[in-house]
Amino acid sequence: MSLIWQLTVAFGIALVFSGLLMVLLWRPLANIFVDSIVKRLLKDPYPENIAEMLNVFKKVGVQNVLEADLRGNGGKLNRPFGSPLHMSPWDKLMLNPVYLSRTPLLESAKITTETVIGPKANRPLVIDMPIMIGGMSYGFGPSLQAKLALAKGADRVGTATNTGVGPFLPEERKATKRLIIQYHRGSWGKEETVLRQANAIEIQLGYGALASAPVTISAEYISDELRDYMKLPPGTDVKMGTQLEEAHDRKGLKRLVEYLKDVTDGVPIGVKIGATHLLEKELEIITGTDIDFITIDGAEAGINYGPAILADDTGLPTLPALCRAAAYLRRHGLNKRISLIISGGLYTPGQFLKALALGADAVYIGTIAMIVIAHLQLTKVVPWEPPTELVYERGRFKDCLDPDKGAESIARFLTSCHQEMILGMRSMGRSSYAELSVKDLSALSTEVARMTGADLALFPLGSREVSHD
Amino acid sequence: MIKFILTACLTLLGSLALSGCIAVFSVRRRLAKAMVKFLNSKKWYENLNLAKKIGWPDFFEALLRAENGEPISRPFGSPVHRFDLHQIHFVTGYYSRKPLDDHIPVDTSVVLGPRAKRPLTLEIPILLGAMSYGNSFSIPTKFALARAVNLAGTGFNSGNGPFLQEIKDRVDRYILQLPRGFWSRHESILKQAQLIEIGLGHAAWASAPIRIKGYKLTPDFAQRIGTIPGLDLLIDTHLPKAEHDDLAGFVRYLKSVTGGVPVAFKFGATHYLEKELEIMAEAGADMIAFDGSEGGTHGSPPIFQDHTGLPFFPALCRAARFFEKNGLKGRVSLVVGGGLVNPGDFLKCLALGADAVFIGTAATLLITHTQVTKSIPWEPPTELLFFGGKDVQKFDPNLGGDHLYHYLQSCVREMVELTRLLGKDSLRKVDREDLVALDSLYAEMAGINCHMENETERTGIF
Repeated sequence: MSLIWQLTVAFGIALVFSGLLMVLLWRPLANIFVDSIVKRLLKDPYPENIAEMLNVFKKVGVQNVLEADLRGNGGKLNRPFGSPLHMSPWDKLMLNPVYLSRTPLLESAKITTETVIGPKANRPLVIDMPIMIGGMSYGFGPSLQAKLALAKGADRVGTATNTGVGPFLPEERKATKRLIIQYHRGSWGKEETVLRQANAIEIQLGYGALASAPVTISAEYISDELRDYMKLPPGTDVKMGTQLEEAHDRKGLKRLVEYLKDVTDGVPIGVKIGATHLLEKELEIITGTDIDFITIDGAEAGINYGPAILADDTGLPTLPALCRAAAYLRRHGLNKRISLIISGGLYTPGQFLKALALGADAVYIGTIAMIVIAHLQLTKVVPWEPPTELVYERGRFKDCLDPDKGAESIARFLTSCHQEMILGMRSMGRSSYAELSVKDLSALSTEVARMTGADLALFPLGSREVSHD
Repeated sequence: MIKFILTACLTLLGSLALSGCIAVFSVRRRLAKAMVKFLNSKKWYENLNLAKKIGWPDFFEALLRAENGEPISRPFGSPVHRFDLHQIHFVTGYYSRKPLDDHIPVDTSVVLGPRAKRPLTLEIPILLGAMSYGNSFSIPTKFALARAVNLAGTGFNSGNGPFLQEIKDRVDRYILQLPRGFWSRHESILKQAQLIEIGLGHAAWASAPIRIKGYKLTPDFAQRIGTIPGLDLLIDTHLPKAEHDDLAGFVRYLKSVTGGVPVAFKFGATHYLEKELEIMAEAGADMIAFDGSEGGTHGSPPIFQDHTGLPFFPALCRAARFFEKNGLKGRVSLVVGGGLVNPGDFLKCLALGADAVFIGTAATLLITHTQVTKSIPWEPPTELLFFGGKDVQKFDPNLGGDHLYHYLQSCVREMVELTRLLGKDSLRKVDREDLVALDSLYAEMAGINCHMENETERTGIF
């Protein structure tokens, strides 16, 4: 027998022996192992004890520790998806079903779901359901495939999609019948040939998660494809300032709205801002022009990436912003002329329906739409990569995304949400979204009752006077 | 051969263990470093932020929606806990209020529909909620429930499925639920009920229409309900038109057919509670039952579970107040449910003004009890119970019934023990004076004392 054989056999025997040992001794061994850990935890002085990490994590918060570490790597912290804080107390609002006090709508009764954005415009935008895909821009966030998936999916269920601040994509235009084009703070995509192709134009002044902060994408991150679409000279950065030059004051905005109406032959023109405590002042200026809709982006809104300070600590949460904006429009008799679109941290049909009852005419979804288009294709990236690798322009797996499958997913998601909203409407005995009002809601805390004007549900009907605004 | 395989297995195990030990002990520093690096990398952070921002349930449910394109059906009901009954405590005493002597029995019985010609007497104030055959449970499961209620001396609720003669023959107190659908209306069925409950809806579905697809109906189910397999089954938003338009007439008819059993209404709590209660009381109800938004279900869209209706606690407080104000207390029975599991919760409900409580989810969990091992880990325990479940054959109804009966017994005993400490000889006599709230909002809602108020400064409390 050769030496190698002998060694192999010896090794085999050793392995078998150690296996046997493990089988027999795993309990005492595990005991020793655990004992050593426990002893160390209990005996090490606190400052040297690994358990101090528990205290640190609890005191500072796991996410704050991680973010601080990331900041330690240098550079600005760019957090994806916006704030993880849940600032709007949607769960303190309840929809009011009826049984006998009013008659619920039978399954056969018709429910009008058609929604009109900009009813007074020459060519209003009509959508089949009041859930739209929010402004997510090719190049900044989603990849071309992801944009196509969103547009096709939205088109399948008869709703609108928004270009975001990215370049105009002829493919996207072709994929959907209802396209909202953003008129943004950048220099690209403002040719009249582009604007004329819009079904609505949204003048974009800022985001819920980014306020009016400037956006720069340095040249190294811009692919040739994106550069071609943007018609930018090679080597230049992409930049968006804090202000829209054409409309930096009341007069400018007025002129811009008139110009856009003129160019597009009267599609709805709207303005999008991130929610802020100065909301009424902003609205006063914005509604002073001839706009047809206004988009309010709450602080929970998503963003491809941005500094944490602008997402967590800036602006106004979606729910109070919605209540204040709706109240403002009602108070000034503008709610019949100007449609209100709300966005920011909305994920479930319950939240959508509550937003509509509080006075929104439609909602935008963003983050959840991005999750949904990845859907079954998620397995291509998880668990080692986040889903963004699949849907973002900078993602390494963006070419793996199948736009048609993504479109199918988003269409199914929207249909499911909308069906559920319709079921909710039936049990509330309402036959159209326009019939919904704050009377269909009740609040589970005094704070929320005050904020929304809904009845406080904790006490009998009529026992507390709540002033309906 | 076997020896060879055994040796091979042991070898594998041994080498794994060895290499594991070596890996842990020799490269633990490197391991820790790699872990820190991973934590520091942006990928992990992106996933964490996303999960925290959207939340796992919403994330998961969004993907389910993308799969089916239909309203999703979440089992068991809302996971949101809005009010905590632990904010209310019972007030026991030593000298100021003496406990009841050991030898005096505590009465646990309750009468439902005291004004009716043939009121229904229960031995314990805990009912089983409406859980129907076909829509949710299989027949063996219903057998288990029937066994438990008969042993415990309480009522069995048919649920809104078809009438099952074999179950009716096994229970003494049969509560027949009349669904919003067309079935269970025949006089021969109505006459067998000890109590008739008109089911207007429940919290987890509100009054929304429920359509059961025709292909899901088995021939047996279709025959029992009186329809043809393949035809969709519709539970519409309200009762058939004739009944809906003349509720009082319908109630009178039911009473005359059955010779005067109590007629009850069941619905899900809503902010329009007082208006609903008023209409039901005027229609001649002997009992009113509702569940709060925490109420369970076999499966329903999350919009109703999380976003619709009124939570249990304010609903009970408001209903009790309405009953007292309108002189309905003692004439119309109030039965409540929705997320109740513990005897402490049950007794608090009785103290706050309910005549009885019902349990659903808790009962479902209890009849599986030790039998869960037959389905887990690869299938959820509901596969044992639900209509069309994969493991229905493995379920032992007698054992399940016994477990549920033991649970009910245990709960009632705990309630009796506490009632004894309160110095009362009947569960019915426990009232709001026996409660104190740990939170002023709860105190105000329930109309009870708050622990911050000094008892000695108040008069006429005990």
